[in-house]
Amino acid sequence: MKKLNFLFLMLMATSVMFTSCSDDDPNPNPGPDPEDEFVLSENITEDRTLESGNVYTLASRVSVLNGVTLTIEPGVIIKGEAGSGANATALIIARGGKIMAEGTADDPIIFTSIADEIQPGEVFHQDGLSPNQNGLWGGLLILGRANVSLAGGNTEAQIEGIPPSDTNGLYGGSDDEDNSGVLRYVSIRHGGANIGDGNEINGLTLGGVGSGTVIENVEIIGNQDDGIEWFGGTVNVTNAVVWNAGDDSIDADQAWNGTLNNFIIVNGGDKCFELDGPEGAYVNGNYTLTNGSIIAGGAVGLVDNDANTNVDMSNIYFTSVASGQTFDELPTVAAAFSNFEVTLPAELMVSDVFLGGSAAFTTAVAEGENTVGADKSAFAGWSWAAASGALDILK
Amino acid sequence: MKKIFVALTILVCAAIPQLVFAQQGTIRGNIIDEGLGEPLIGVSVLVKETQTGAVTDFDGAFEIKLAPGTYTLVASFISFNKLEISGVEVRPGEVTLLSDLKLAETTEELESVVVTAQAIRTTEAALMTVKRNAANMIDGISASTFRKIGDSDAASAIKRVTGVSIEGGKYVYIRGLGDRYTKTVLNGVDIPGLDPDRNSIQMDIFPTNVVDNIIVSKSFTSNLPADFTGGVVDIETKDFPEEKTFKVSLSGGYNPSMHFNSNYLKVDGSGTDFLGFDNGYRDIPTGGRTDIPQYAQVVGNPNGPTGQEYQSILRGFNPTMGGQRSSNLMDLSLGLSFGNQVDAGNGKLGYNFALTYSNETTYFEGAEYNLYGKPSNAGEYELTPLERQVGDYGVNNVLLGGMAGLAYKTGMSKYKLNFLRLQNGESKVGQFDFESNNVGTVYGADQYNIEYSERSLTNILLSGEHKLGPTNDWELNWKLSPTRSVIEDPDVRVLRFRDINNSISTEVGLPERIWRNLDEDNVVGKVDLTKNYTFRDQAAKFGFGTSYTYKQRDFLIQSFQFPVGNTTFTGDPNAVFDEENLFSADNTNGVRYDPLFIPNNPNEYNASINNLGVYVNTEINPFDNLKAIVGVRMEKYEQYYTGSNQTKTIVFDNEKVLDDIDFFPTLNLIYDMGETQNLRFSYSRTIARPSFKEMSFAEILDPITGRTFIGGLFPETTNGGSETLWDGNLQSTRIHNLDARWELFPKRGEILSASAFYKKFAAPIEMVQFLSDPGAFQPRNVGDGQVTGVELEVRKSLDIITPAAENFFFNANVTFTKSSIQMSESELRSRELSAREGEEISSTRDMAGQAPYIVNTGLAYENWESGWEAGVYYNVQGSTLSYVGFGNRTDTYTVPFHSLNLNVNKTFGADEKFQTGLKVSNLLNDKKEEVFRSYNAQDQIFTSLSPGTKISLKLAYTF
Repeated sequence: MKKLNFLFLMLMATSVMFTSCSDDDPNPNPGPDPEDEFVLSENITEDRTLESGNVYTLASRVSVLNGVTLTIEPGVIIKGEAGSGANATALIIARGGKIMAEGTADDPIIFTSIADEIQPGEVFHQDGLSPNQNGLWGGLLILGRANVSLAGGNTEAQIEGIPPSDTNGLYGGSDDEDNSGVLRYVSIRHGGANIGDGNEINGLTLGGVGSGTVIENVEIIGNQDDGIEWFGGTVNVTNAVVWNAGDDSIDADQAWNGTLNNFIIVNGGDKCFELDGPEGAYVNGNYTLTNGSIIAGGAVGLVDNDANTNVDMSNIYFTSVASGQTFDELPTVAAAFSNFEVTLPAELMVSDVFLGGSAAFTTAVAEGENTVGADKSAFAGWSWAAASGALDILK
Repeated sequence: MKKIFVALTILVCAAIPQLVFAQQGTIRGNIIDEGLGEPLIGVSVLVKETQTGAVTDFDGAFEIKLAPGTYTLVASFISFNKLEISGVEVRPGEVTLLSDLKLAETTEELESVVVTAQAIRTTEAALMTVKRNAANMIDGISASTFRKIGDSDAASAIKRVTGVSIEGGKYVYIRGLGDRYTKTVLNGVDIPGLDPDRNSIQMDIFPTNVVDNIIVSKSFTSNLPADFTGGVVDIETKDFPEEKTFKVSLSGGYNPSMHFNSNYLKVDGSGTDFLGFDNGYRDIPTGGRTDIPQYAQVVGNPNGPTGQEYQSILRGFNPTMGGQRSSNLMDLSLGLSFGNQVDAGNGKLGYNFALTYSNETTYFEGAEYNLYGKPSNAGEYELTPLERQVGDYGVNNVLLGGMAGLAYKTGMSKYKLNFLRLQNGESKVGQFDFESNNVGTVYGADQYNIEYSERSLTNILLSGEHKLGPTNDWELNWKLSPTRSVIEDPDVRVLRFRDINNSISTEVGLPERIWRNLDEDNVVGKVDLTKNYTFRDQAAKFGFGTSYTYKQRDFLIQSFQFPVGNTTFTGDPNAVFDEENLFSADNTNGVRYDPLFIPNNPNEYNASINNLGVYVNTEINPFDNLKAIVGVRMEKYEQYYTGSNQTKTIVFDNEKVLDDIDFFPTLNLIYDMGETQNLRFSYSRTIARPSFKEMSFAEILDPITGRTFIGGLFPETTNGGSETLWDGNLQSTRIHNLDARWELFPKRGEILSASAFYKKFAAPIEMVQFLSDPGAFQPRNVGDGQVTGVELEVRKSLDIITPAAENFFFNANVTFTKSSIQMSESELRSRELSAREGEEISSTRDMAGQAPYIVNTGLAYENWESGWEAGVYYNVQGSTLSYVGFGNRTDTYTVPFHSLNLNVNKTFGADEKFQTGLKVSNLLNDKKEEVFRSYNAQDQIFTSLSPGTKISLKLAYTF
């Protein structure tokens, strides 16, 4: 039996080895203090006001829940903590929640990264982050209960950028007059943290946002993904500038039914306009893009339409266009296009750039001679794009 | 671990000097009761010529030492017919084996049976005896068949068994029921799986070299664990060697479409990759820390201490992101095994040692991974491409395995200690053309993938068998078995360049690198007691016992993404991490890392289970020809989970997530319809439990498929939260099983059987897509399901056609099933909403993973005198629903893969010491494909791989 005892001992020794192999857990990041009144780290479950003159830290993915209003006073700066993937910091206005962010031309509200040293009273920080720095935090997502056209006939969906386990990421419904609050004089910078392929956070995400919502004078700078993306809904946006988008500057999907009026795109990433049609059977008329000026810069393309894109576009001016950037095609569904102007380099003709019949409503003009486009005076004073001189090329 | 390995090796080597025998030869054999299939103890075995002999021991085994010559043996036992074996040759210093000699109970017609030694070999016949007499319905395959067919691992061997198919070359399907309903045990005890996505273990890591046999039980008896439905696969490693064996084998495989191919894709690895593990070359440059700096924290001050640390970590990532094309070698494998038994004290000591090594490369040219969807217009039928990925990939798979076993046997007891270590490393390198046509994301890209996966399994088994009581009518069996399994995927790398300008952006997906770690420890203890008695003058048994299983798993994923800022690229994947591109004080908008696991990591969890089982059963003959095995098992099963959701709003700390107490009744009836026929019936209740990963808050994105796995604990609601689609309350599935089988054993080595089965599943678990996010999948209990099936098996010598064809055997086993499942509400709704015009949506469908038919057939030639064995084998599985479609995604189905293989083996010399074999696999050069299938539309490729035709040559020599 001696041998057996020996075997038992070996077995016991092995068991001990099994149990003693567990890894030590290194200490996690200390992180911001959730008790701090200037730190937003948990979902906002009761009405709350962020007060003028303060800088707040957005420490996690924070949702303003159904029935709750978040008021942001003029001049407030919100800085997103570092975080990527599921840890991307973002402010979500969930369905039924409201944001009352009413900045002014003198005191805009600024969403940016903790890496940005900007202080209240500044439009931007001198020698601070470059306007093409992106992906440093997530973004602002407003979700509502207006109609959305979804594949498979669903009436609601999970917004891209937010994992499906977080039900505050759902958008869509049947209330086209839904009101998610007010966004006025708001600048969103350096965001767009990535979750995965085809699943990124836009600068300003508008999912099923209803026409009761007011969005005026907004600016998106250096977002790693799209500038502004609409997923259905009926909200209108007036006076918008998108500068240095990493992906598409203006992106509309799922049969959005609203108007974007008076806007400027500067230095696109992928397409300046990524315009898609309904994904399901639901569609209720066209969305409208009017009075826009596009400084194409490094964009891959100008306008990307699909056969079913339900868009009306008018009074659009393009400049800083390079070879290879195109307006790709006209939709085959009802869509109206009129009064396009373009300033082209000497070697390009309108028909080289405006394809699929789009040359018919496009006129070549000399730099500064355009008769259509945005009125950039709307951006003076509060916008970094305007202050930096990025809009100077426009008249 | 290494120390034990060394200790065992020393022990084994120490035993070798005892092997030296005089010039005598040895006859060894064992005797079983033909009626019960059990060893007969105390049988007298007499050598006619010398009038010497022996009495069988505990295992029914005997040993006689004789001078060289040819002898006749007579085995006799009270109330049994005598058995006479003629022509038993004894050679000096060698062992002559007589396996599974069967004694039948006395009948009036027959007094003694005479067979020749030539006819007794370790063949399938031995297994069939077990099969015929087993209490439950079993099928199996033995070592001799592995050798005959030339299968190198358990996965390729087991698909010869009735109703068994293998998915992806690794996972067992029994009767078409998937991995969830199949259980794999090693030497009768639970072992942890090596894949967090699976319930059972990969079969391809068990080299046949260490396997004695594989038994598949398809019906349940109460001494087995209750968590299987299709079947339980028991891999028995080699045990008591009957004779001294020392065998060396070498084989090489050549596939013209894969080997010596200058297009083969590979990447530099670690110096120990050829041994199946990474030596640290692919280690995470952070050492697994979770307090590393992030880009936003250092961009303003790149040269501060934190910035320096960030830069140094960034430069620690291996800059290789793409493989290179260069020629590969052919497949190679080596095997070495030796074993013997020696006298030790009053008993016998057996030892067994096996080493196996294989190094295989596969190369797939034109592999496709696509995604298709239904058009948004319900009047359009043809599927539209959403994503297409076409390219090449190379795989190098290395397996190193070692086994050492010791067994000690006395008259009434037997002890076993077995040590098994398997180490497997797989390196994968791919290059693909990627094309996205998804709404809003239309682009083309060049994709580069590098993966390495390292798996290991370490198992120790200590067991004992004892005969107790004054008349040895009690049997005590016990087992204690700890196992540790580890899987590591160090540095899985994915990179895409947009094809028009070689740019990297969120549109094409950022470069990503993943480190995944899974450790699982498992301890199983088991005690079984059986009492043999007589009921109405017939042998009967009463048994009871208990088992306890503890399992715990640590799971961790750490991934990094690499935004590239304003860096421009040339399209060279290995230049992305060039120094000039990396973030620095001079290049603050350069390539940088973003950790995806800070501050919260939902893909980190710990889970454990406790499972206590208690059972009783009895085996009696209530009537002369009817044997009944009745039993009941109770299992108390508790599962614990430690982890959190992504935002840490839900945190579980060793929370009990499952607490089941279940009773599992079993009834097996065997009606003896004469000497060679049985009729069997069985009923049992079994269970299928959610896995560790399923019972979690994990949210795991697969960067390759873009699919996200969502743990079953999350609920899903719709209509603004007013309607619950899934309540987050994942439950075990309870299954009722009914089986009937008729079997005929015309003569040794032949069988004819027909079975029918029915299984009813209460709340089966399936992977269901989130309604709100078609790329996310979650395990959920869906509506009730059922499977009905028939199985036919025949193994028959062709001597019925002409006696000259007596060496030809025809084998066929065929399984047909019909399954149906009640769809979940969300699935039904989704199907109705996305139905095509004219398409009728039923509320039931096939069970996912359930094959409609499996066919295994073959023609074998066996000639013992000449040493030739040859066979042609064909295997196919019917088109099976693999993924359930939701929204605009359609169901995917496997396309039947027609596998036709040829084997030829020849042994040389009188002692058959030298063996050669030739194997040709996939003679039809078929492709392995899965397709998207939709109403009124043409099937479109989901995945497509060409395995090509492979020729393998094997040489083996026994010393």
